[in-house]
Amino acid sequence: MRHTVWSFAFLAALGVALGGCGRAKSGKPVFAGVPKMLNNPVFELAHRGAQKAAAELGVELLWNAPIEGDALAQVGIVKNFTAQKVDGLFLSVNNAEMLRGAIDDAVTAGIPVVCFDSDAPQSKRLTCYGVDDAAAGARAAELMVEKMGKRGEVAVLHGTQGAPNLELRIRGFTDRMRQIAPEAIVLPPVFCNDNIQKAVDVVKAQITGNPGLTGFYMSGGWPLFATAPGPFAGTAPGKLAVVAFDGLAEELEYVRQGLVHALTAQKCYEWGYESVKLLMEHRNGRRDFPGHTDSGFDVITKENVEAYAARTK
Amino acid sequence: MTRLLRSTTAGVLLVLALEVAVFSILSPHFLSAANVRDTLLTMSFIGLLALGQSVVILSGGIDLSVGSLLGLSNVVAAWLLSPDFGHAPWPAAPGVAAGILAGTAGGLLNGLLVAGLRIPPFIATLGMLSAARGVAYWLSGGLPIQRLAEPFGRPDLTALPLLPGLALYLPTVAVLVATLLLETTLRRTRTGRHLYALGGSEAAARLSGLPVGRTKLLAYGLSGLLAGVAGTLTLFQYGAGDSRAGVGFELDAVAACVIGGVSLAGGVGNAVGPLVGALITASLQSGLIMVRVEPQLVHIATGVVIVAAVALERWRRRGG
Repeated sequence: MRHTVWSFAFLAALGVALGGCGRAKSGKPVFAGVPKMLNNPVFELAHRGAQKAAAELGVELLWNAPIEGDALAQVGIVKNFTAQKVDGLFLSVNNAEMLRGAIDDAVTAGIPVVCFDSDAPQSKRLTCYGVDDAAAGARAAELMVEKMGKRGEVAVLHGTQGAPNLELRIRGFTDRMRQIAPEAIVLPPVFCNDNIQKAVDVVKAQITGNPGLTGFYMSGGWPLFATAPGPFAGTAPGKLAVVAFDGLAEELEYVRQGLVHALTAQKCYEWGYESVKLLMEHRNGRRDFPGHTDSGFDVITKENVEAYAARTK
Repeated sequence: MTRLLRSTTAGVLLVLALEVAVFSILSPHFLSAANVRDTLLTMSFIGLLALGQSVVILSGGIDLSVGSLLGLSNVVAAWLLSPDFGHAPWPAAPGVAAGILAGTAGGLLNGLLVAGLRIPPFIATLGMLSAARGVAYWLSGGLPIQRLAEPFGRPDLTALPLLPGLALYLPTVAVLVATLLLETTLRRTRTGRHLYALGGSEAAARLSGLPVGRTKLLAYGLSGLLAGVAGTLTLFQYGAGDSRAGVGFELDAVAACVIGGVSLAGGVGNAVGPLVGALITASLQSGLIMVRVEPQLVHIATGVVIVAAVALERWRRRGG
């Protein structure tokens, strides 16, 4: 009997604790954001953007996602928000087809849905706000050739196999390299599993193991989240042409020090900011949404790095 | 039934009941038909893996490859069923069968490595975790496999109406049927008794002349089969192959087993416990999102509840 009493006491305490976590209903519209994952700083920028828009527009913001990119877990979270009858959903999908049903169910239940970053184009979402990954990869190839010339050996850093946006960036990069620098050798990608420490190690290993290396394309910013010079300790600035993705504050330092030639930065802050604004416009009666809202991307070099830093502070 | 209620399972059922009570008080949406259906669905995939895992743990082993075998079977079936890979898309039944076969083959290979080559289960299945995921990435090219014909991606076509307004999805029906079959096998058949004996003491099982190698092969094969079923069921539910499907699920499956009273030392446990264990974690995650707990805290709370549920159960068994 005693154990049953204690079991009840334990769960009652859990209930009280959770009751404290639940927020009081505010009367404001409730929008829920579901990025692909929590363990990537680009989505924290999106979160900040969403919080800013929510504060400006008088929206209660909910934010939840799987820790790692996991489509099945993301479906569960979207369905959960649908069951809660939130007033709007915005998400970056881990797998377009797998999320389609959950998005369509939300729309059928009267909840408008906006995609950002990664789209589910066959679903009933209003629009998608994001970058063209293949185009960003192709632009990175042009920046690489601009710095390195048309000959040389280029290493490629990949995050995790199976991430469609990274695959598209790398395809865009290698296809464009083949067109504009057919004599350059693009090495097969090396993987860092989206892990900062591992990324630093594999980049160092590539530089050490390939003395003839002249360029490095990074499909994400992982090794550059380490304090500069990070993976380039012992490498003279400018010796290697490095073009990387994203434009987080830590990465900008590499550009300032001349260790990275250029960054192609997607508009992570705007993912959240614009998505909340689009949902609010829908709530206020707008219905003419284009299928894709191109966010474009910024190209950051030593010439404009300070201006970019000031703009995104 | 009476024996079941007196067993470890009674403790976890109590935890589940209290969890449901707490969340249904805190959120008016928690017991809505849609959320019950969706929470059961979330539970189903981990539940299927946990059933296979429980058989392997009962036999004294561990299977770290179940998440990867789910991904492998998912991608193999999707690759065969898709029109995008330079071959005519296979009809649904043989495509699904091939996916399940891929999972089963991976499981049997685990069994051969463990029983035949005496490689420790942790190492053999760790190797399979990596290799099976590698095959899934290689076949899919790292991109989602889409454009599968109906009934894939049309869960409404295969859902089972239970009550007005509440239909159970196919994966939920599958995990309930699998639990019933496995519980019966464990309780009523010679193979079930062999599994318990093997997990209790492998040396004693050998001395008693039990077919140790064959039983291990069966345990790992069954685990692979259930992972294969889970992998192909994701196609019915979501209509796309995903080479990352099931990443990390092996630990969720182990957690469901441990919560459900399966002893990691082997020889103790049943099939209903892991199912309830999977439902406890699925309900917890659903409930915590509903009461708007910060996402990072959801994972911390899940970890705390896993340890607390097991500690509570051990304490209960000692008589409080």
